[in-house]
Amino acid sequence: MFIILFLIAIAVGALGALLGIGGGIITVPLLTVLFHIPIKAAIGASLISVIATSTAAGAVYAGQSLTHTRLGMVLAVGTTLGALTGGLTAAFLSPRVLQGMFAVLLPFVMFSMRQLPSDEAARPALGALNTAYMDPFTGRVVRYGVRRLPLGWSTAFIAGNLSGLLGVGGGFINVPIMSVVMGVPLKATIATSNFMVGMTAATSALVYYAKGLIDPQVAVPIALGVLVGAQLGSWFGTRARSLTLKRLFQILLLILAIQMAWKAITG
Amino acid sequence: MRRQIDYARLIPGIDVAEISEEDEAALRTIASTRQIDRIVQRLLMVTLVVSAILFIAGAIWQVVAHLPPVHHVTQIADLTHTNGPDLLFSLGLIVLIVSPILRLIGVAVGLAQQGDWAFVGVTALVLAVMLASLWIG
Repeated sequence: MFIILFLIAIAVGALGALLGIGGGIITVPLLTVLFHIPIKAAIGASLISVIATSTAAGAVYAGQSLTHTRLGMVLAVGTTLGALTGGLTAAFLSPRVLQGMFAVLLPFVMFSMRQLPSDEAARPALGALNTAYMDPFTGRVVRYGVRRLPLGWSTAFIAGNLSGLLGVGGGFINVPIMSVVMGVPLKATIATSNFMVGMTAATSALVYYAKGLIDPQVAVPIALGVLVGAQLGSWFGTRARSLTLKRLFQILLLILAIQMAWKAITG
Repeated sequence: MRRQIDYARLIPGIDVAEISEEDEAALRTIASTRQIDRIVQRLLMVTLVVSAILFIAGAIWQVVAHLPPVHHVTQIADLTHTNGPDLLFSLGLIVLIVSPILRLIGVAVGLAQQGDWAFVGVTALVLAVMLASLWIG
C-alpha cells in the first residue's frame, strides 16, 4: 500500500500545487472510498498532504517571487477568523444546505472566471498593495494592484467560515476570490492560495497530531509523494500559460459542483 | 551600468535595454519581494529536506528490520521514550506540520528587515489567531 499511496500522492500534489487548492478535496474521498481508511485518519493524512503541497510548492513559488505574501496574510486573518467562528454558522446552516448552495454557486464562479484576461501583463497596476512579478512563461514583468480589498477580505472571512464547516481547506474558494473579485493575476493567485492553505491546514494538523489521529502508515507515503508531485506541479505552473491554468481550474470547479450536489442530495 | 548589473542579477536573462521607467519601479518591488522570498525559500527547503530524510530513513528502517507498522503518531512529550521508525516518522511529521508556522516567522523577519512594521503586526495577528484556533481545537 505504501508504494500505491506514494504514487497517487504524486498526482495529488502536482494538481494541488498547480491550481493552488492544496488537494484535500481529492485526498479524503480517495482514501476513504478506494482504501477504506477511516475518515479521521483520512482527514489527518489529507491535512499533512495539504501542508506538504504548500511547503513544496512554496519553495518553488518563492524562487519566482509569485506569492503576494502581504495579501496572503491580510486574507489569512479573514479565513482563520472565519474558521474560528465557524460554530456560529453551524447554528444556522446544516452542511447539506451549504453543499447545495455551493453546488449552485460554483458553476456561476466557473462562468465568471471567463472574464479573466489571458494576457496577465495587460493588467493596470491599480488598487492597494501594488506589486509585480516576472512571468517565467512570457519573460515579461507583470504589475498589478489588489482591487476591492474590503470586499475580498469579507468574502475570505465567509469562505473560512464555510470551508471549516464543509471540511475543506478553502483553496478552491481562495482562488476565485483573489482572481475574480480582487483582480490578482492567476499565477500570483495560485501561489498565494498555496501559502494560505498551508497556514490553515497547519492549525488543524496540530490538533489532529495532539489527538493522535494521524496514522504515519498513511500520512508518510502521502507526504513523500506530495513533496515530489508538488515540486513538479509548481514547476509546471510557473511555466504554463494562464489560459491553461484557468481552463483546468474551471474543470475542477465543475467537478466540485457535481460532487457537492451529489452530497447535498444523498446526504 | 549599476542598473544593468542589478537587474541582470535580479532576473537572469532579462533584456536590460528594454526596461522602461514603469518596469524599473516594478523591478524595485520585485527586488524587495525577493529579499523576503529568499528567507522563506531557504526555510522551506530545510524543512522539506529534513522531513523527507526522516520519512525515507524511517521507511527503510521499518522494511529492513521487519518491524510491525505503528498506526499512531508519538506525542511530543513521549518522543524520548520511543525509538525506531515510529520516532523518525513522528519527528518528520512534526517538522512538516510546523513548516507553515516557520514560514510565517521567516516572513515576519523579512518584513522587519524592510521596516514594514504594519505587516509585521499583521503576521503576528495571523499567528495569534492560529494559536487561538489551536487552543480552542
